[in-house]
Amino acid sequence: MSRIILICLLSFLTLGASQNGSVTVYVSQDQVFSEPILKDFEKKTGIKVKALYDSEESKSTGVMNRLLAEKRNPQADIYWANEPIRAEILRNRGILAPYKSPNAKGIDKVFKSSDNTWCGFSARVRLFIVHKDAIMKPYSVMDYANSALEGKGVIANPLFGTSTSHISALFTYLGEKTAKAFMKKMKINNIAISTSNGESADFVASGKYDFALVDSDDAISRLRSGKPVEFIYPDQKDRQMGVFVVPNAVMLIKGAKHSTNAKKLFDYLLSRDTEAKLAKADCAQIPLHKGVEGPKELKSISDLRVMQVDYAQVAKEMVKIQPYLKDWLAK
Amino acid sequence: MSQKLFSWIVFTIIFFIGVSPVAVMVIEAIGKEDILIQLLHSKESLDSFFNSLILSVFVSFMTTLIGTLVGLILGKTNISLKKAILFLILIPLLLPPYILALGWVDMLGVVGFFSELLFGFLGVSLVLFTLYLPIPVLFVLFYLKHINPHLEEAAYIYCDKKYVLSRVTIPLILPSIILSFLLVFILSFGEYSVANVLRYSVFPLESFVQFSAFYNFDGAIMMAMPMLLIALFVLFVEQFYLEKRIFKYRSFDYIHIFKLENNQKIYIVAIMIFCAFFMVVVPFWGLFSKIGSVDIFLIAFVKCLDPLLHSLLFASVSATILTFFAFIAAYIVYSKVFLVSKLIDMSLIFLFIVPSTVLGIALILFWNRPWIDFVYTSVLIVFFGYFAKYLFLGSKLIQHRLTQMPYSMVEAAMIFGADWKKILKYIFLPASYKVLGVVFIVFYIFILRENTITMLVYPPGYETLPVYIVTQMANGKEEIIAALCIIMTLSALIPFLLAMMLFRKKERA
Repeated sequence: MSRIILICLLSFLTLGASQNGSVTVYVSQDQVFSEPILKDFEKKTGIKVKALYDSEESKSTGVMNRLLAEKRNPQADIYWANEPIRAEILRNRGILAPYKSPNAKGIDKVFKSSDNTWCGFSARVRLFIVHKDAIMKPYSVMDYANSALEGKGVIANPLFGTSTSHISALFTYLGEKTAKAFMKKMKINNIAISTSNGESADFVASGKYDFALVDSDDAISRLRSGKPVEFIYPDQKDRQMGVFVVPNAVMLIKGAKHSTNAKKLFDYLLSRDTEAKLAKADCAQIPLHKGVEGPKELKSISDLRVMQVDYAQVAKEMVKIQPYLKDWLAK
Repeated sequence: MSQKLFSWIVFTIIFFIGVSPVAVMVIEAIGKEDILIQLLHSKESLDSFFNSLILSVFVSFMTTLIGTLVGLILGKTNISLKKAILFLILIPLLLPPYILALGWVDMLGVVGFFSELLFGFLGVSLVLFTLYLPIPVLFVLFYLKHINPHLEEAAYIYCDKKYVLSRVTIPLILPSIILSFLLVFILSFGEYSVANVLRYSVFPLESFVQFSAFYNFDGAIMMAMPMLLIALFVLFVEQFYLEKRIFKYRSFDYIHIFKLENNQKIYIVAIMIFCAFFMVVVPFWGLFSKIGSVDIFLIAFVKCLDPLLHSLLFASVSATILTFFAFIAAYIVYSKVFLVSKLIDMSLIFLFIVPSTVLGIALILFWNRPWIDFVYTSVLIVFFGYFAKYLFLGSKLIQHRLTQMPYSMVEAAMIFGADWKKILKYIFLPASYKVLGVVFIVFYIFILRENTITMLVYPPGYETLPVYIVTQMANGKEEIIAALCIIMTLSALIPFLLAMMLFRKKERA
């Protein structure tokens, strides 16, 4: 009996232990979209991918925080984030190692860090999902403060996910004073707060609210499932701020135990092939490489007026405005 | 090795794996009370705390009330279909809690009047009620078996059924009612996955988010403190109030049955089947209707093969080791070795009632250190979580078996010079074979359904099926998620049914 127990314990000890022909990746992109890409990488290279995925319960920031906690003894080789703001936070904490991937060529420098610690690929854009029966429609993010649309809109909790990034980007773009005035007006305008972008999109699809600012994949999924919705790219006129783009980001972890394999995975994620797959998938991500076919319902990046922000600046702003956002929510 | 030394070694293992992480967490929290005050000052945290408190009081009250009634009907009356009703009621306890919630969402959708009710206090209460109803039912059934039928028969000579029930039967099973109330209270207070699916703010979720989303260890630790205090309160009640009131287990050959009229029996069975059907079958119907075709089921099966294998492997291997340790722990508690038996008993109860989020956070805090990272980086950390959380269940079941054994057998062995090891090996072990089988199945099912601890600590590449389903909820296709839930259900139900059949066959033989 005791031998069986010993064998069982030893088997547990060996499971999960580091292997040479493997790479450990922490993933914030939804598993349903990221897993097939990682499986393809496994098939193509023969390198075993050990992935740790985020869940919605942890507001998709759990693995990033696990990276922070493991700083002195890193377990991950690669981090695949679903937005670049987290990459900037990790860069500032000294968790990332620089790597210039050959596949990063052709990706606009706006979507890369200057020191090669992270590189963006396959992006979402922040757009309005609007119910088809809505009489008045929003065309600018500022319409959240438009009294004609009072009580018609909903936005995901700005303390989490891409909503935080977007609000932080607004603070960076508009300046603190204007942004706070906008937030105050938004509150007066009775804008509802949902728990996530997905919930916002569901509310609009059901007709409970007329519009919501969500990620493009949330809007596309409702559209493809036949819900009575359409979408509007905000701020596309001249002199308007443009649409906020949220690319995925890949980064190499400093002290990675399998750095050679990690670089191979880094290159693979930045490849045109991966971008094409993510464009065709249900997440409908827009490729950042020119010439790669994007999702048919969405415009390509070059056809859009893009909000010009420095993601490093947005990351700093995000940390700065957290107490303000908590207060804003509580009031 | 003396029995005393051996007992202390076992206690050290339990302490090192489960108690010390929680103790370290409490020590780390000393001096950071201002963080808790700050957190509790936030409206969200305070609201979620009161939500959790009201929810768990309501669920435990309703569950205990209805569960006691169901237990009495199943245990004390002559209605038919008892086993079918009990099996239906038991199903939710075998599954990860969020599966029922997902079933209801699939059934009612996310918009409309009924979904408005579902996404909130009522919906979460209904799911938690369904989930924990088996606890008072099983407790009552168990205690009824140990009531001396002669007491009731004596009372029956002079009094009617109602009087016997209210003045004899219920007072005798009162400890089981209090115990199940406390257990349901602590379990529903610590449960957050149902509230998460049904978008209801509860305190454990706040604690989980503090850790998982903000990686704010100090915040997470301080958010765990109120839950820890509630766990300690339950431990106090169990140790110093209930233990003195629980009579020694002794099974009787028969139970005194209250005979009902035929029409009464039909009404009661119909109501019970209708309720069980509504609470259990309807949400599963929601899942089945979402799947639509066999192809979807097959796609989901192929997708989840790795997590399913991990789940089965972790459950079977962990259940084997845990059964061994549960037997040892039960023996030590039964033997009443000075101090250490009490310490083991209290440690196991405490670890069982500590909410899983707290335990998960404590395990990371303790084991994520460079010099002992062989635990944190391997599946051993997941096993430690299961060990700490569930060892109590098996130990209690085995203790019950040991107390039923005639002590004369041990005395006879001692006269012939057998030491404690020989008594353990040749008397207690053979006499416990059947209960060890039951304990293995209990461990297997509880580990298979576990997702909170696993989600917090699993090493990359080794996610289990319940964790996989949770991660798929982020933008995964509804029909695939529904199919995954059914696969999860089958992987828990099939071994359970097989085990039941096997035990029945052996009993008949």
